[in-house]
Amino acid sequence: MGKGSRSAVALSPAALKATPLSSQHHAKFQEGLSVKDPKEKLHWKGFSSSSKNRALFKTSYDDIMEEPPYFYLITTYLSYIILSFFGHVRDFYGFRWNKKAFAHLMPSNGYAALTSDWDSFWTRNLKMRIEDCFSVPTTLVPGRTINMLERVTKDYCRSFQFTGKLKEAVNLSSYNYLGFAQSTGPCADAVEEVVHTYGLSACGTRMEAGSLDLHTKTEELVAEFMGKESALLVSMGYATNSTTIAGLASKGSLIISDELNHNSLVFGSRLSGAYIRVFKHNDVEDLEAVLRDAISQGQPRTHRPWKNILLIVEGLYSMEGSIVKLPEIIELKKKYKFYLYVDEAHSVGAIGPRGRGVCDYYGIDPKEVDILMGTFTKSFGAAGGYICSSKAIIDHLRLVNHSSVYAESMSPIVLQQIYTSMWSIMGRDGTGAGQERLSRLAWNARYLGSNLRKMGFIIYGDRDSPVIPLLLFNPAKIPAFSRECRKRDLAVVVVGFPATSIVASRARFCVSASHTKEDLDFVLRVVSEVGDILGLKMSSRKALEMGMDV
Amino acid sequence: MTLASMYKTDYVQSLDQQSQTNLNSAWLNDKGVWITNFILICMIKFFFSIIPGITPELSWTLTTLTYNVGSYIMFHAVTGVPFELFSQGAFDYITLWEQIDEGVQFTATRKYLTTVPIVLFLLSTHYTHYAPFAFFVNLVATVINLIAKLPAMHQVRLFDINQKIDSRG
Amino acid sequence: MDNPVLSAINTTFATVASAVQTVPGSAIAIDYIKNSYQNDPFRVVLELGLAIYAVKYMLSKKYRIDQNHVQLTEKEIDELVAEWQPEPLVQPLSDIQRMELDKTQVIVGAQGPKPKVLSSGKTLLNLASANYLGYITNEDIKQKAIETLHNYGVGSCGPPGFYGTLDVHIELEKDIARFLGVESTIIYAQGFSTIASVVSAFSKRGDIIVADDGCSFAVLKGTQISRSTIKWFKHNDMADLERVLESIRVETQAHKKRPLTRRFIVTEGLFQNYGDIAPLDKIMELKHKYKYRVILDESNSFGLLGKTGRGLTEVFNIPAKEIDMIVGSMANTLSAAGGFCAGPKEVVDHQRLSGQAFVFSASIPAMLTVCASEAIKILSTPQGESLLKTLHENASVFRNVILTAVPQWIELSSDAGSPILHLRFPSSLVASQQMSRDDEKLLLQEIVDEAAIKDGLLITRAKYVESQELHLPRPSIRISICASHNKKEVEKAAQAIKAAFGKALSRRK
Repeated sequence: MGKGSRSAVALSPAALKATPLSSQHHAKFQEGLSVKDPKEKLHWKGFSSSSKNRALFKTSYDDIMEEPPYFYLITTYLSYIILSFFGHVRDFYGFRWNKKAFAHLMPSNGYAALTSDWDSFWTRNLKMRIEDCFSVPTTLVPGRTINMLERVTKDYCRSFQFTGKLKEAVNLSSYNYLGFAQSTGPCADAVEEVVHTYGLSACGTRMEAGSLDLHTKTEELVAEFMGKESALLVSMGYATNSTTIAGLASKGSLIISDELNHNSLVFGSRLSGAYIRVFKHNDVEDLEAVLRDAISQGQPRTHRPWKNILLIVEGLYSMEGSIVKLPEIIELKKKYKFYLYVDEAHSVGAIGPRGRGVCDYYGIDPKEVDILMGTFTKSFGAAGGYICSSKAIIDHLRLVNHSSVYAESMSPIVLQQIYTSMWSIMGRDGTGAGQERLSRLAWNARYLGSNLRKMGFIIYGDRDSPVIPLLLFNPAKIPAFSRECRKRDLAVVVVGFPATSIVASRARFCVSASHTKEDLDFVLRVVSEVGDILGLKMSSRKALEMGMDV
Repeated sequence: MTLASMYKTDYVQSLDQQSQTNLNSAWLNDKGVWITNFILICMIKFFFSIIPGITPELSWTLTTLTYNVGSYIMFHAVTGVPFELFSQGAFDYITLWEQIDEGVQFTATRKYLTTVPIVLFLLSTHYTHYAPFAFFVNLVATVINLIAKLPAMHQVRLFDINQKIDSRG
Repeated sequence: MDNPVLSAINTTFATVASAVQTVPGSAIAIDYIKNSYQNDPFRVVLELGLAIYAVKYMLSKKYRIDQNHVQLTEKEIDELVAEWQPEPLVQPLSDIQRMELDKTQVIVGAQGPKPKVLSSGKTLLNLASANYLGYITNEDIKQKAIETLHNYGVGSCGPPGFYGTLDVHIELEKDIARFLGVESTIIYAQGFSTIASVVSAFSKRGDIIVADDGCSFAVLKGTQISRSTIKWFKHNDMADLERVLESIRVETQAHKKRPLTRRFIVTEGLFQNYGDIAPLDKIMELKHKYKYRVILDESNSFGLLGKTGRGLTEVFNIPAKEIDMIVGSMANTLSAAGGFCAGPKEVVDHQRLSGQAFVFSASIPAMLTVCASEAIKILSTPQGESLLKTLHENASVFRNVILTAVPQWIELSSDAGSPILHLRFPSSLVASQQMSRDDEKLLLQEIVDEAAIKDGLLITRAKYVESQELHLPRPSIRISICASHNKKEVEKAAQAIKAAFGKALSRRK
């Protein structure tokens, strides 16, 4: 086990205070946070005041997907053409003369191939070569730093052997936004206590005999936190979406979904039997066009009117770093009478002056959104997810949500982690440590994002987003960036096609409240160095950004 | 399920196709693709030109032929998606050409991709000085490529045009 | 040339020609046209035709094929939008739904063999939760979990594909593979979501799934989302399975040109809805005969059936390696959380990229992973064997009491040795009394309530999402036997339940 890693990841509120938030940047940011004044809350309702709040946060920057010079685009396409060409050559050769390695892709003995060769073309020929950048095994807490198990490959990433050594690196890869992934501190103490008093499992489904008072208690707190009447907890984040949507929409309903919605939402929508249409990512005009077309045309073939329309969007898109344009969508909602389902998997805890997600961020009354969904995996350092809504909807969902009827209920340890972390964010523990985490995260996100922009990298997303995608474009830069950063003790996530569009390969940084300013300066140094080697500082807006302050 | 119904889109299949962006075809609408296409043609021409013993006439014919065969395989012969799209095979029997813009006809990308082989044909017949053989080869390649692109051929499997080639038995 | 018309045409031509020449690049075009003529009008017509086609194509308007789209004006659309009134998102709960919600027991404090419930504040004997081997109260496991907490924290904060794969996950995967004797294992973060991901990772559109119609909801949803062709065979009826397989064989033979598709038999080891077990030997025989792959859902049977808890394969003495995919849950017997799929390396590796609930979900918390590892370790020791023995003895005590009831008020669909027992009203009785489904549910709920108040028993009806089930089982009370109880308690409980059934039925008469 990595020496010193325990103390490094152990981030107590005291440790947070010990590192002074230097520079006047922070003071300035605190001014920005002043919306949390009680009198501001009175003006919450309505669009006009919320746009004022919005203006406070979104000072000068809006999320723009900047395009790189043509050189990078053309070389990217040519790279993929070359890679695909060699993939075809390898397949051509393999299917004829290396049948053993391709056995599972070919019919044999009367059985069809287990997996389709064409479906797996990309995986076998492109992803396999850079497999060392993915599924990195780790150990210990994914906190400020992360401990990776070092591994080597002798057969071009087909298999790996562990060397037995650990490599500690600054962690920009985990969704540990508020730094609650900790093995010590109030959360860990409370969880340890609960292991003794409650055990580790509730042994049953919510509807049968797996409901604990701890479930009820946590649900009440979550509902209060989100500003909704009622909440329902599900033991897995993915399942929160995939098993709930079928209870809300059915054949005859229409689901309108953002084109970049997470797989769990798509899975759930497909399972529901409702018709699905997508609109362009975060494009309110396209959404309106889709709505007008859908309502006026009615159901396909029969032209019957839709039973109802459910709009599904995410609060913060984890690959793009873009924040949903909620105020505009709420405006549309009034006119087009659809129901709104917001997936706050990444935004809850991570944005908003009080950490309560996009509604908080824009100063919108959470009642305006019909269903607020979110997960505890990210900001709360736990697992599972929640659905918050009116009591009528939640009561209905308790009976028809597949997870609450058939799946294991949430484990007491997870419940306690949620409870204690949320308690702290709400400031009920009386220390202000939660608020400190929130402002720390917000400051960190802006500090890293704006400095990367200043350096000339192409960064997508909103300036308040704790997810910061740095665009790499050329496919060869995906593994190169990951390996170079790892060499310099920085753990980053890199993503390529088909998780992103073909040109927009990227590295994704997830900022955490557990990072200190020194950490971020280290990150900036490393990324700048790697960026110089790989030629990533290609933004044409450098001059424009220079004047921008944090 | 009959063979014909494997190609036709039903309610559930269209739902699965629509519920996500089809990344396999979406990139064709991206910035830089058309230029790359042009550069690729230039590179093919250049490649054939530098091979000693190949006359300019032949190199033009080969360029047209390579482009037409290559784009035919890419757009009309191979069906499905080469990576996991989690659509449960909603595009398995659908060619890339049919996937473009969710099957909407006469979009900008389609117009571009239809015009390129025509222009290439006109250029190459011109530069081959209308040698009858080269003209014939270029014409056949181009016309087959264009027939496959006709809106009337959308999800139609005729003779061997648009038919899935099963190279691996 | 004195014809004025001709000369007029000539001058016009000349002007147009000179005008064309002033357009930049026109010289090249003219040169091209001049060259292309080359004494072959046919060729020119062809080229011109192509050029015209290109221009026509360029000028055509966008349209969508095969859609009966109605052209509407903006005003009409506005009217339609204003007119449209959506139905409410959910309907108000019916009385029986409200009852179902209100009567759900909430446990105060720890879950266990004898938990305290909120409704009465009393301690009840637990015959409802999946704590079969009593792992929930095991102090060793708790100790191990706390150690893990101090090293790993709670959440893993990332999906397995990025930095969410922990060493303890890899250990657990190895533990399960070793325990079952298969090549490889993959773990998912929730037991229920596992099977749907596994089925849909392999079976796609055009593939064939032959499934038992007694399978649980999780399997049903998995087959539905896979978009494959689904054929159901009667619950545990091997003759019917063979009939279905044969009919598919005949049908495929009729279409020889069609490519070979993947075919799967999907069934459960220990049926969650009936408590009986699948005849695996016969299924394997048919599998080999008709060349199908078997997906066996051992969510309930893993850790429960067989002498050492290795599941259905151990019962039938078939090596687990021969099953293509074994899906199990760590939430039931192991009292942890999550699910797994065990099988050959290719099967598992494919899921690491295509198992949707694996790829897109955060990995399971380290503490629960370690719990499952520990629970498996205990199963392999003599302690585990004796726990299983006690469990099976308790189950047969309960079963014997129920079966010896005279007159027969209870229909039991569970097999001998199964710790999951479904108690239903006899179907003949239901038919003769013309009981509706709701009547049955209400009557069973009365039994459940009475058992809680009078006999101190925590039992539950089996709950279903009725609107989304396909082969809805008849209402039942599901008893889960626990190894932590002693025989006397179990026997007493069985007697009480038996009596409650009799009383409820006589009240109705």
